[in-house]
Amino acid sequence: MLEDYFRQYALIGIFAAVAVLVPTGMLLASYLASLARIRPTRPRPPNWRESPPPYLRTYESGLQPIGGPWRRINIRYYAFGLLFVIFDIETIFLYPWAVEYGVLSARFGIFAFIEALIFIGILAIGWAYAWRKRAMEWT
Amino acid sequence: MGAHDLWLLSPQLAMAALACTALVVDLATGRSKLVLWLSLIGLVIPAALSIALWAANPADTLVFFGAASVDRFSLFFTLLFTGVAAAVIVSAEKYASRFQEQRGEFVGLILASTTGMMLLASANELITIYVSLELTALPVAALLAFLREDRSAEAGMKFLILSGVSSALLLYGLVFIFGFTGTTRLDEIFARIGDLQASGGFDSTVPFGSYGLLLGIALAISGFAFKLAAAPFQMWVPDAYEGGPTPVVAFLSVASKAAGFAVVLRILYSAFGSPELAVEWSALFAVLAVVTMTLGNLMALPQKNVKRLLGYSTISQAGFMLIGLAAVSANTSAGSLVAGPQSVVFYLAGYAFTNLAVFLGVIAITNRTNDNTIAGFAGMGRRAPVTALLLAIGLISLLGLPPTVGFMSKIFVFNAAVNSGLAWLALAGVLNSVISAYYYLRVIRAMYMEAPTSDERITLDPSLGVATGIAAFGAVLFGVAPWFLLRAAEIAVRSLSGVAGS
Amino acid sequence: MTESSALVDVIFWVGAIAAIGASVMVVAARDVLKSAVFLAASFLAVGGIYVLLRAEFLAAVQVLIYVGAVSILIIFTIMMVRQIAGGNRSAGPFYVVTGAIAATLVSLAVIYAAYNTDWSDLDAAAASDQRVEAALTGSYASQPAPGNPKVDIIVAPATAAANSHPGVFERSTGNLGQLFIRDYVLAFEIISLVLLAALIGALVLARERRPT
Repeated sequence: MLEDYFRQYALIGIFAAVAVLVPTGMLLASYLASLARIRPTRPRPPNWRESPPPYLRTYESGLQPIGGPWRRINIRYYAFGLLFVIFDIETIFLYPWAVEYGVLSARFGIFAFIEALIFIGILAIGWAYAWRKRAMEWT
Repeated sequence: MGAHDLWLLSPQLAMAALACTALVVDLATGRSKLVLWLSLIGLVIPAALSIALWAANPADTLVFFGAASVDRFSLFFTLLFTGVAAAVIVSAEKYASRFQEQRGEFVGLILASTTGMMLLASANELITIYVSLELTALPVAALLAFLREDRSAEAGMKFLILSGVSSALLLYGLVFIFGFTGTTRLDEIFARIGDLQASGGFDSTVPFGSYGLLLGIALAISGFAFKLAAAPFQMWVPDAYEGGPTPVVAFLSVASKAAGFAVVLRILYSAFGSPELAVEWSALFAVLAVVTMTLGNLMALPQKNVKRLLGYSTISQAGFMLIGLAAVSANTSAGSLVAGPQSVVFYLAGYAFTNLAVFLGVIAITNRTNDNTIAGFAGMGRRAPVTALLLAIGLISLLGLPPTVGFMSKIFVFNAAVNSGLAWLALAGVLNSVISAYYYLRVIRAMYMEAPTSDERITLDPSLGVATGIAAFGAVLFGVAPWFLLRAAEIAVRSLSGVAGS
Repeated sequence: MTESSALVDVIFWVGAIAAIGASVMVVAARDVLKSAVFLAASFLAVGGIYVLLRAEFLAAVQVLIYVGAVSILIIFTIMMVRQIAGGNRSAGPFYVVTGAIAATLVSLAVIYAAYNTDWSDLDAAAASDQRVEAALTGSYASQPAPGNPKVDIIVAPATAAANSHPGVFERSTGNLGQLFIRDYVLAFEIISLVLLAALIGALVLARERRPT
């Protein structure tokens, strides 16, 4: 039983290890190549952050990036992010209830349903609030 | 679980429903005046339910599988919180014009926080306690930042961050307590500790019998100290008080503190009430009490801003209440076990009247002058005679002079301390009261002995006037005739498991 | 048990060192954005430890909410403030030294307490799980608590059965679902109120900052 439990997570572990090793391996290979003088090294000019030479620019699938990466983002992203976190947490709390609903409804009857309904109902007020106050609009 | 549970918890449920209703009505109509008066009328329901439950006095107080205990102790506080919420909402009627379009949210968040406090006063289980505490603190953090000013944003930010740190400490402490006892219910923790003591699981050379429990209780008390505005977790108080909207500060200083003391009293007596443990935490609170009141008093002396002054004042008042928490030890006969918590509960109720009178008076005056400095109160005795008188009554009660409830509160707290063999603590309290006279009297002197800066008279709004008048009347009434309130506090405390039962 | 427990030990230490190292980097990194990324890494490592402790649901929560949502929100916030983004910050040596001393003392206290305490053991945890099972099937009994006759405690019908199988560790998500509807139903409903208050409070403040 113990082995079964860890075996399934070993798969995730292997996956994570590969995901980490591939990019780091690439970077390492590139670095080793520069040590062996196979890859040319290019210097960083003093103002490389403001006006980077082409070889230091962010690679965006071959397109020229517009503007620097340190643009100040709009506060509306924050409002959206916040709504996301709140409703993410709501979903997480409903998850064990949903997993166990078959057992719960057999043992507690309609109460198992009402309980979650109250939980969702209270948060629906928050949802209505966000909608009504135009927190979900981009204008 | 069934109808019985719902009936017992009905004040809390009514308050939660009221908070939701306020928000929905605000969303549907957008008329914040309507929301305000509707909530005020709606507050009658939880108050009436609390009184009905107090009268009914059900024998089986544990509800929702032991998560909450609706005894008279919790009902006492439920009623208190409802009253404070009503006073704060009344006081915000004029003040809230500064919140512009967010008056509906103001009422909703105050009611949500009150729900949290009511649940906190009856919570009998660690997870419920923690969640209720968050429900109490989060709306207050938002409310403190409600004004469109940098100072207000700073107040909210400081409160939020320090509230988060203290919650983390508390949670860590609760985890240790759970890890040691294996249960989250306070009554089961009490039973488990009793078992361990009987079976020799406690090491008498270690404080609290075990390092795990020692760490757990120490961390939990640190977390609660933030709520109570007790040293060394008082540093957020002056900034939050100065920057936040005055009605919210009044709510924070009265209701939030009372909720903190209610839950601390319940945890201490219901879970850690065995005499061996009580001796340990009593000593801890004695030290905290002296540090808190002295620190608050000394820092209050040079203040020039009234709200900041009241911030330091609330710290020193918390110190006096902590004396009542310390007053358990030495002599654990039934009488003295009741006297300590009884004096704390009495002090909290008296402090609610007193501090509300002070804050509502300050709101009535600053609504017009918009000046929070002590100098701004000069000559208010002539410009606003009624308000100044009510404010002065509140300040005298904070100082603790007869015939106000502040005097009686201090007498009972010191009396409990002396009876528990803590005469030195009572002496420190008396000395601190003397020091506090300097800054409380300075405000009164400014109002009555200094020349006004203008001759414009400041009239008192009827609704705010009634609320301030009730608060000041209560502060005098329970100072002249404290017996009714004292008896209620005693009944409340006796219903707390672990106080009278053992 | 033995061979896999050696493996479990190795994984635990890798996870623990990664969590502590990432946490140290959160404080030490000069760039706030890097701190945020290290914080996410630290959350992830703690999630791994939850898996080891067989709290699968908690591990999923850790990854979904902390790594997935909270870290993003933190990075959003950093990006909103131009001065901080990409900038440096440095704490004075006073804060570094006092912080290090305080952190060391707290860690030592916790470690000392952890090793010198007779913790409520697995049997008790399993028994409490048994209590839930028993309660669900309606076969539990209550008796007055020792030392406090006013209070009834619920006793498990058979602790021997509880010892034979570590029930809490199987189907932890499902058990949690049962606890949400029984012992902690009140806390469960309060959480929705907390979320509602947090949502409204945060939206009010976020809107307030918007120049109109």
